[in-house]
Amino acid sequence: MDQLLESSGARMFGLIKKKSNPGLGRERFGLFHMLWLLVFFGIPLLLLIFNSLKKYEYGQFKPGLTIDNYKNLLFDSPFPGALYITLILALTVSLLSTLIALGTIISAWLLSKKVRNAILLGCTLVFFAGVTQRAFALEFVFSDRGLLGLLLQHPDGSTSLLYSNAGVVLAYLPILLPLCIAVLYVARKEVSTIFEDAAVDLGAEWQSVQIRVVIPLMKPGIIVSLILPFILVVGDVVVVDLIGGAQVFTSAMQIIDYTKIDDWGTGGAASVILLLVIGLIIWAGSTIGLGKRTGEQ
Amino acid sequence: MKRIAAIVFLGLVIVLIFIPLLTMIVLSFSKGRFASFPWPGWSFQWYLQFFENSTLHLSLLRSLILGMGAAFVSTLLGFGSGYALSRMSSGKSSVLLILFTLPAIVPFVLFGFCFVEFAGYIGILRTTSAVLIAHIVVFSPLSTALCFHRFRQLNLDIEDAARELGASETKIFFTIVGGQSWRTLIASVIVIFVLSWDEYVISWFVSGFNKTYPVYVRNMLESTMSPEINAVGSIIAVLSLCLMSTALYLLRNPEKSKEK
Repeated sequence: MDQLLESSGARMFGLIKKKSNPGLGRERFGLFHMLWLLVFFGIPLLLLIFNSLKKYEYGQFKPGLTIDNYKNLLFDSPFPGALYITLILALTVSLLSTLIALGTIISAWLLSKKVRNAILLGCTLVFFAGVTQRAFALEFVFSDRGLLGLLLQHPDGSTSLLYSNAGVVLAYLPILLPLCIAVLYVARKEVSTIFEDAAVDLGAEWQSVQIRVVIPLMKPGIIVSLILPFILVVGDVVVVDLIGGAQVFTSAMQIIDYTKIDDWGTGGAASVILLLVIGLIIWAGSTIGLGKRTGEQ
Repeated sequence: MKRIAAIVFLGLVIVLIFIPLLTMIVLSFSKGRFASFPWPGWSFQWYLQFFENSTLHLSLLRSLILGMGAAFVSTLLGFGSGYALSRMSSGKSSVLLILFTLPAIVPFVLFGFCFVEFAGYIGILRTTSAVLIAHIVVFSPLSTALCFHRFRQLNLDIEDAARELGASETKIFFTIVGGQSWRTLIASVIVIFVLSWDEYVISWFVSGFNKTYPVYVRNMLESTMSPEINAVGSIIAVLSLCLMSTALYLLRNPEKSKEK
């Protein structure tokens, strides 16, 4: 009888409980993807590190390893300054986007579920509406012919937004806010109402519930919301170029410049340094954020 | 009072988010080459110009094929890896999931730079297939994450029942798991298509003369600054929004929707 029940798929309906047999070779379905990433991501990355230790002259890498590219980059190029600007921009944008998105989520949760979902999904969708064209439209908005540019125009006719760090930060906000809203929306949905209800029952006011209960429970989402815009800003050249012009020079633009002048060795060194700095910041951010959460739990 | 403040704040955020999109749409109907105030008048000329621009059509077609190729292959790879990871122990799967998603969190400019060197070595530099391979690398992790999340929600008992009835692992994978997750797979195809379609930096590095749509638009911005960009941008934006709405609709949890 048991055999019949087992073979008839009665377990489907929860009549018989037996754990799924592990190790049936299901890992093989992921092997091809892993191989793909190893070949087309792992090898190029190793190649980048290897080539950053070689001199590139007259269209080819010279034999022998050297740290000259790193020396030139750090002591004899505008790269440290560009890296500083990049990090300041990226950190400011990710912090501002996350703060505004957090405010948006908390505000939206005061509305009915239907209205809230409509607003937040509408905002999220805009992320997929083309970055280059939206940046181009913002260039007009910020210019002395656009509305915001006209409003903020100095008496001498110059505008303070276009071709400035502030303008670049402001331009990133409408482009990256939808992404932060999407991440925090998911994080907020994961927060169980049981904790909020308990806090209210214990006499906590709305503000205290948000600050002491909801936001701490959203911490993993907040960290992701800080990391994603950071990565996108560090790797972007479109918005910086259109809004910042020649006045805002980031490390991504410098890497592009190295490819234009055919200096692949120094470009590789710049890429490796940028990769290390980003990795370090993301690792530190997530460790500090998630570590605290574990402690609180 | 709290509610009013929330509505005002939300209104400001909506304005901030929609300003570039609305500006682009309005400018696409501008009569003048350089829009300014006072408004030069309304016109469809940039749309007409776009319909006559064969080079732009070619780049659009190239991006369309590229986006579709990247979307299908990435989803296929993500389907496999998502399933493999979702059926592992939590500790093992979290470590592997981080490794699988690593290409998506490396800034595109860095990946573009290292991939162009690699593409040169294997002789595929400045080809559309090089862009395709690169896009699959950076976007397939997204499919892995989406599939992983969906497969974790599936009832394992169904797979066990099929296994005991003699179904092979391959049949379970395609019939049981695939059959229950087709919505996620279609959503993954759409999301990756939209992202690949709009990707600029990697395409700029790798594509060479086979310019994709974003690279072509960027070149237009550097040279002519034609308002035609707004016209094509508006059409693409509307199409992308429609596609993404479909993807989000498909990504709803069907069980939860049924409960309602």
